[in-house]
Amino acid sequence: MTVARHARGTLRWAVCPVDERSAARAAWSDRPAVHAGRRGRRGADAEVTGGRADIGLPAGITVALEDRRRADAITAPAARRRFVVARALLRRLVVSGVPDLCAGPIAITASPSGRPVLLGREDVFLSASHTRGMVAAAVSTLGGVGIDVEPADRRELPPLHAWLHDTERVQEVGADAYTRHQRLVARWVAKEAVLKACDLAVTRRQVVVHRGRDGHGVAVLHDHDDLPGPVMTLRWVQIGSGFVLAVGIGARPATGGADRHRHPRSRDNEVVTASSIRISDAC
Amino acid sequence: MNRDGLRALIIEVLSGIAPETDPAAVDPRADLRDELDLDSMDELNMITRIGERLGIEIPEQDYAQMRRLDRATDYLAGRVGARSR
Repeated sequence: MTVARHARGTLRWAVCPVDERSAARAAWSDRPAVHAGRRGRRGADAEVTGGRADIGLPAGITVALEDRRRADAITAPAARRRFVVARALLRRLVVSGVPDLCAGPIAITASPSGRPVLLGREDVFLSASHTRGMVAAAVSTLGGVGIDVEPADRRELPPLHAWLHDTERVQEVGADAYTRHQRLVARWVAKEAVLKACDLAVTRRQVVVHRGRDGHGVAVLHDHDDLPGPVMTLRWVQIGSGFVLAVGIGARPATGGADRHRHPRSRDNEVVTASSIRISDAC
Repeated sequence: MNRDGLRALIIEVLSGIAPETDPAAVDPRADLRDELDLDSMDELNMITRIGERLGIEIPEQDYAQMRRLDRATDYLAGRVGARSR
């Protein structure tokens, strides 16, 4: 698999269909068919990969021991399977896309909020998403990253008042039912991606998504005076005909911890800003 | 509504969201997302439906209280009790 790099870092993401019937067996030895990135185009300030080229998981990294232990605590077989596949994807993306890895096992753990973390590398950001039938994962050295995937025809969307900002609800008025549903699913995955990437104490209603016509967009936080302007750049991708994926990226924090929560534009020496990153899709 | 009623309500709502599972058999201290294979959309649907049934609004910052059956029961008992006082 080709790795696209930029002087300031990389973003790689991948998706993997999960057979829900075989998930019931939750076999440890089987290898899922993995779809992952192809070489991305050079963006304004960053180069990013993503896509659906088959690579297959190499033998020997099927399930890391620590992932297996964590998965054993997950009761639902399908959830266990998706967790394992997500971790395998993350490990694959880390191995192929993160420079200067130390020798030895890759240690991925979870933050208190559940976000996957690459131990010892505060400059690397991970995100994973699993829904029925699909797993997605992203690894970034550009900045905080979030990824989310949902079936495009997912019904039973939560009541709009629970997750849409008033301005977004107004924008949905007038569209036909099919278009409206597609747009709502796209908004949902974008908001989830933003929440995962920001790791901030904000609500879904505060995350306002602005979508362009070319599958790109930005997210701003409403009623959040400390973070004016776009906090995330978003890219939507249709996976086959059945799933919608959103990947979002912010800017690299100066250090881990509290600095993660600072606005990208507030750092004098930081060149990469959320609004300057353009996420390319090679597919 | 007492705690048993609240627990029954949660299980009833969960049964509608994850009909292929048996929420009544869930370990009360286990994470519902892992036990019942709920994703974030399921979780928000569960919370909004419970809120509607009880006539309360559950703020997003309290969603973490709804991820275990025992904690969700405690949380809702506090909210319902506070409302009825």
